[in-house]
Amino acid sequence: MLEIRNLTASVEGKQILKGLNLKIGNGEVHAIMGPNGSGKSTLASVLAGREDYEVGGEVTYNGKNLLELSPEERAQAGMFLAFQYPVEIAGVSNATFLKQAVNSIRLANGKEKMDSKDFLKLMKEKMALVEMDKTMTQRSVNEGFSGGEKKRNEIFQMAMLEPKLCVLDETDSGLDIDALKIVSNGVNALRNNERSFIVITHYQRLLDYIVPDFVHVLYNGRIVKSGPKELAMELEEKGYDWIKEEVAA
Amino acid sequence: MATTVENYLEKYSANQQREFPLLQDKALAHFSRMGFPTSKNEEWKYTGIAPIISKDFSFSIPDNKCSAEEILQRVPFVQGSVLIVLENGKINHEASDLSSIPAGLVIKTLGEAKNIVDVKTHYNRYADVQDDAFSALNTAFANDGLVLLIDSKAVIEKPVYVVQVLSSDNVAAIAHNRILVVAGKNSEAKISHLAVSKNENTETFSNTIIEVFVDENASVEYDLLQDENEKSFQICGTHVYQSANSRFSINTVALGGSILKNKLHIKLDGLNCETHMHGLYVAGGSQLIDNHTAVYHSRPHCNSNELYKGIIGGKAHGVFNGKIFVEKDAQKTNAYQSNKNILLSNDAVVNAKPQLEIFADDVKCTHGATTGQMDDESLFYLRSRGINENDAKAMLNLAFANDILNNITVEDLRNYISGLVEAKLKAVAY
Ligand SMILES: Nc1ncnc2c1ncn2[C@@H]1O[C@H](COP(=O)(O)OP(=O)(O)OP(=O)(O)O)[C@@H](O)[C@H]1O
Ligand SMILES: [Mg+2]
Repeated sequence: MLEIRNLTASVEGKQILKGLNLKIGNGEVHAIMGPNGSGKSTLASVLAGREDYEVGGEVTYNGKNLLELSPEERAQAGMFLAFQYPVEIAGVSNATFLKQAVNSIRLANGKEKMDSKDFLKLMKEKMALVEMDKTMTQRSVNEGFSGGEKKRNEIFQMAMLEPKLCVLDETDSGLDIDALKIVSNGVNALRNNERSFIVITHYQRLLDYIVPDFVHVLYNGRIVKSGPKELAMELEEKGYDWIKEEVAA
Repeated sequence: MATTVENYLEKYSANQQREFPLLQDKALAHFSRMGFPTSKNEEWKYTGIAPIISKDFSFSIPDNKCSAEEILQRVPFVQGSVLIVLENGKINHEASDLSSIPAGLVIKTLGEAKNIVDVKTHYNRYADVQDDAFSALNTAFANDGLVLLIDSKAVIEKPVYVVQVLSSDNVAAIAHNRILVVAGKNSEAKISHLAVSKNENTETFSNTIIEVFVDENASVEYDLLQDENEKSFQICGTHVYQSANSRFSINTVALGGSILKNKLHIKLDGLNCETHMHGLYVAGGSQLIDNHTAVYHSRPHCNSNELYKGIIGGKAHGVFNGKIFVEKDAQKTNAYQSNKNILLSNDAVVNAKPQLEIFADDVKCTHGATTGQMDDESLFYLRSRGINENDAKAMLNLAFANDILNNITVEDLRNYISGLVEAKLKAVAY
């Protein structure tokens, strides 16, 4: 699915990713943890195609050179980023926005546009999946949404777009305990042996719901440790100091 | 170029048919005295009119009338409504639909209406004929305009559509459009004025004056869509006079035209008036769109609220000048003004100037003007969902524009304009 080799990224002369390697197979769920400021969101942004960075290294996504693609081409090829801080867009309704997104991805993949009836049906189905209130779709994208509602809206969008590779950047932060379950169930419902996930989180609790195949620690711009799901528990217990020491050694 | 003024004077003497000979002669004298404005005139500082006044426009457009079908093809949603086609400054009765004029609404040509008391009282009373060469020219040449009278207490629920069209096919031509609206006491009406071209390639110049008198406790919405062809020149003066407890709302959407200059003057001359001025201008290529507005608060307890938004791409130029005058007597005035612009390219230019002159002490006035670029974060968000860059830009710009369009309460018109704006946004995005 995805192979990242020696990925570097800098912004305004500051290097944030410093040679990052990661390989993700079909249907796998990879959790990425790491201290604040270590570069997790930067990795997510670079994968999604944000243009603010100077990027080096190689990223191959389903045989394509991902770094050459525009953000929309990546999405059309099945990439999805659930933002850590979803943007509020005044005056564009969620429904209008999603319809455009769904159709533009369909067109890029040689499919026909979805008609309004099918689209509404799909929305209804996916809203149910994340138990989202239907009034939300008529509101402007994320405008005035609470923190948790924004996160839920990200997962709703993900469900609508049915991507191949989903990057979730701290989707759990800001969710209450019930919402965390609902959103996790939504994610789990989308798991299958084709679709892969990168789940960025600070809390082991999320990984009780979305059980990962691998856990990685991103520190100072690199993946410095990888392991099975038990690694998350160890981190929860011991924090990051021991990792930092290992790296320093 | 020195001969241009004479050229207009000659055209005037050549045509002897006059409905208001005294007014018209006087207006021509004003024009002759003033001549055309230059860039030294503050009103015209950024709007060079050399391309307009250097042109020898034909005043008599060959008989080439639009059919009802042609009009409906351009603006299909007006079908079934009261429709007045103002073609080359004259009412085209065949293309108009006056079959279901509601009670309380009177529709006449200027000539037919010239002896009606309301027309005698209000016609040419608000236009700034003494100060503005184009207003003077309009009064001198307009002979056959449109009069809309709304009886007192009449509530005209459905919109009255006025389609203003210049129908010259090959010859560069000029039309002087004139509209007078008199809304009687306690009346209500919505007028939707759509300015279009018949031919997309002919250079035309429409010089338009709209006067609106809003009597006590009356309520008028005036929607003005300006979508003449790319080569057209449009100068449009709207002069509104509001009496006590009246409400007036104007929505101006300026899209098409090479040079498009609007002047909007509103005088609040009674207690408790309410005024809303919304404007949207979308310019691309080398278009110039200039909106000058002025609201005169003459009496206490009136509210005026103004929002103009511009989206400028290519090498286009937007001008906004908004004046608020609060006279000494106009205590407890609330006046808000805001102008927001988005520049889509490095060569796009906006000149925005708010101007407040306040002589009363107990007033609330705010104004602000901003000019910026599109929000990158929003753009990335949309693109990250698979929406192509240009579509994403158009979506964001349309959202920006909707703030204005949402004030148009005539739904069919709003949807139609929204479609035009969307198409234009895609065209000016690069
Ligand atoms: N546009 C930018 N300009 C300057 N510095 C930046 C920019 N973007 C990110 N950084 C810096 O890069 C570092 C990594 O940021 P990033 O957001 O990737 O961290 P993170 O691992 O996601 O942290 P958190 O856990 O707090 O979300 C931080 O020090 C941040 O300040
Ligand atoms: Mg982060």
